[in-house]
Amino acid sequence: MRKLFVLLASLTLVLSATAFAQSTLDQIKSRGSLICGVNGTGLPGFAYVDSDGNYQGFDVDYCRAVAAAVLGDATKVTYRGLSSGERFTALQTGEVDILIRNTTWTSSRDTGLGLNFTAPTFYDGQGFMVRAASGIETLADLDGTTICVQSGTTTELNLADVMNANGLDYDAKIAETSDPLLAAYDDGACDAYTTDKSGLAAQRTQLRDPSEHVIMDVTISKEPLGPSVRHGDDQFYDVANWVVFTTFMAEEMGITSANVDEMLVGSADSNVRRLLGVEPEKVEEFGLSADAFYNVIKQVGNYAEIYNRNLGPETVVNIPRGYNASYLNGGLHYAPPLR
Amino acid sequence: MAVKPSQELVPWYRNVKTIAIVAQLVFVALIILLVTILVLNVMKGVKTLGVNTGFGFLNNRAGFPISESVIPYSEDNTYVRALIVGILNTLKVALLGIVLATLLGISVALMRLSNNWVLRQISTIYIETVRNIPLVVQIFFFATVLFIPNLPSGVAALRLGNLYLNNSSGLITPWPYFSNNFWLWLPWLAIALALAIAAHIFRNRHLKKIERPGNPLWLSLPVFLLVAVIGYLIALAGSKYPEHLTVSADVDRGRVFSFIDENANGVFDQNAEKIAAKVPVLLEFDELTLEVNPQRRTEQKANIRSAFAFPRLKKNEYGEVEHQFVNADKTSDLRLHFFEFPSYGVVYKDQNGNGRFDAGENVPEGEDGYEGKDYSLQMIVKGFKRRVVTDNYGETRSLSVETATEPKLTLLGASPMVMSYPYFPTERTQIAGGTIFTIPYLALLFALTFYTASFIAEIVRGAILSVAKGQTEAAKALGLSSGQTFNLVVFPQALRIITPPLISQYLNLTKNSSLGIFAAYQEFYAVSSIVNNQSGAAMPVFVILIGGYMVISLTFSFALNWYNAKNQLVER
Ligand SMILES: N[C@@H](CCC(=O)N[C@@H](CS)C(=O)NCC(=O)O)C(=O)O
Repeated sequence: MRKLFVLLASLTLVLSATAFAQSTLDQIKSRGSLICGVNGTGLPGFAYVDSDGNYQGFDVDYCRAVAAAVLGDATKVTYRGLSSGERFTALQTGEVDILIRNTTWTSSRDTGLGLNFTAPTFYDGQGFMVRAASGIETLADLDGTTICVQSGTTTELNLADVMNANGLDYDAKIAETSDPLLAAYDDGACDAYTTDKSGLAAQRTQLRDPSEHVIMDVTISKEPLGPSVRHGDDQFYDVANWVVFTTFMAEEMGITSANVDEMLVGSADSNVRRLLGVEPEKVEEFGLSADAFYNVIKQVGNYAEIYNRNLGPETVVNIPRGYNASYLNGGLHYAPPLR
Repeated sequence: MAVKPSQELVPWYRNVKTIAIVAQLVFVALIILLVTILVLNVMKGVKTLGVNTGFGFLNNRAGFPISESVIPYSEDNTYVRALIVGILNTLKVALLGIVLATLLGISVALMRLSNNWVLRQISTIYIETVRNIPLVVQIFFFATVLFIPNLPSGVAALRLGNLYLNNSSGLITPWPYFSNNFWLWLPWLAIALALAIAAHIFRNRHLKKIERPGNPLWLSLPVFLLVAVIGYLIALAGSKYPEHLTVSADVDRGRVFSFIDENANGVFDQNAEKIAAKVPVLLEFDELTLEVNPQRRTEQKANIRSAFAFPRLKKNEYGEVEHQFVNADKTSDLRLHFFEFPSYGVVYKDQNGNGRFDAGENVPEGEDGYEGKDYSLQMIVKGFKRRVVTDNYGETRSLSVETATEPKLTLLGASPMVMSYPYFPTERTQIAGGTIFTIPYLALLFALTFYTASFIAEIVRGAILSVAKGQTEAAKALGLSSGQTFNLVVFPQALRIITPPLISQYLNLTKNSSLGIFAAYQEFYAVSSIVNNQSGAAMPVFVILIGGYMVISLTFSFALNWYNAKNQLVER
């Protein structure tokens, strides 16, 4: 009987631990690793597993950046591959700490799904990929076609809206993950394939003969992509948000992973000194150690470094920066002041 | 210490009876505790996240497309309707799956019991392999391996008469639809059914009275068919279209539209007038031109660079056809080889001069162009006619043409049912008319059928074997043929044993259809998860999902248990 009571008591304890959880930041620290939800199918340039079995990509680098800030070590990340249908449930239930999976910031995801989005890390728009020889050039040419689209995305909603608004007929071929869809498109089962343009650039490289396919010069939506966290933990939200801003600021101030140590000792600019934690108060106010943002830049790099490493001209994906330049170069990335 | 045998002195905590009761109480308490903790946890989580918990969202606009639907559905419909579409898709695959699995299962069982060695081996191998492969693997198999790589797309679809098979749509067949005159036939169908039931009962009693074997269906079925056919003919004679029914054509967009032109002004007034669905129309062009650019395609598994595809025309749809090149300056060299005249084939140069197309003779796009431009190919069709049937929205794609004379549109005779045949309005993949059994549907249907049939076969075999051998011998002794022995003696007894486990197989099949998501089939579960994803209402959707499957399952088992109770042996 006594044993039973002990069992009962411990069971209650374990179960209530989930009900009355610690803050996300404390959880990550005590666990010693950040659980980051990324693209499960693999999206070249954004999140994929390389030949050595390591996760690589633009989204993955942001997981590493958050880990560098919170734990001081960019390698302390546990990745969870998620499909577009699974991702929100995984974040809501606490299966992942943060979701960085080419996810569009929309109002209903803010309200209905209970998410908090950081500043967008990638400004995107939805486009179409078609066979170069198909003669499909404008939206109107898509009338009467079969279009491959992934469910549980903003993509399927935008497609429906735009085709409706233009009085165009289409058959949607729908799947929950992109692999079977891409294969179907490659086999000629769809006339067009639609998703975020960044996704198109990435997935085109996975087709049998990428040169046979073109991304149409049509953009039908705004897709600001970025990390998101759960409602109800403002502290962690602030951290995630300012890790993103750190990468912007570092680019704005010309701090790179290569020169950050020089800047740490040599810079007289108090903006730089605050960011790198030489003047520690501002960083510590986040509940982080003073060198948190220094670690982000040192271990992962500034925005331009992250971008070029994963999506730049030397990569297979090669997406021009466009809107994703710093505001100093006419782009949209702009960090509020750290003070 | 000496053991005292006395009963009263056993302390309560060592009394087996009390222990049993206490243990059960503790168990119940534990369960209640667990559930409470879980519920509290969910409630707390939901509160901190601030997500949807009510059912109010159900009436919001769904906004997402669903790839196939039994009832009209568009993105402008509500989440409720999307979920209904999902349930109907589940039923569509489950009901047909149950019928097919039963038929296949019984056949395989009989094969396995037969005296023929080959049949016995085939059925044994079938049962042992299929039963032991997980269903998901089978769904994947049918969805990818069997279909996609082997089928052409678009107009190049495989064709057998009016049946088409391609990898973008699936199996496309002619299909009868109800028209606005269907209600004229409906009473006749009801009468036919009533008479058939009466005839069935009568015949059954009669057979019992004269003590003869026989199947009452031989009377009731003809009665039903006869009355239904006569009724149809009478309904046909009385069928007519509503007044002011008008059809119009939009040649630029290649469409035909049917509506009721209340004010007879020839155009559809969106707010005041109604569309007319399922109207058969004859579309005629004196002359029209279609134009395409020959391009790289995979035809008959070969990658051909200058394949061309016009909308597929059937033989009876055109009078004269002529093909000509545009922008090609060395036209004399270029020739056409047809995979199917006049709609698709390949442009080639007869390099070895043997007068026909050989592999490698196709011309890359752009070659022989005019001033650096790609050449294109025109098809001029004279005397084009096509029968089209408008859809639920009063619209149908007819043919997208480059240039054309004004078309002539004729309403075809009104009838209670309208037959719709498939046709290709463009060279692209979308098909109009008929109905489509999509590849996801077929993949799931096949997988469910084959998988469940392997279990049903074993149930049936076991039941048949369990009927005592003496029964067969007695039947033989009475002079019954082996067919009669099986139909009248063995099978009716086996059926009583078969029914209960069969019910659970049917329920399994229905619930297994939720794996349709692996074949990209949009059944109840798939649609629910999209609704969950787009609305964020995880808990309500979850409740609906559980409730929905429960209603489906309970309905099935209720119906089947009723049948089972009716057929059980009445013990005397
Ligand atoms: N940004 C959109 C679309 C995200 C999305 O699902 N993108 C595709 C391609 S860019 C993808 O990640 N597919 C991989 C998979 O889920 O299998 C959203 O947030 O809804």
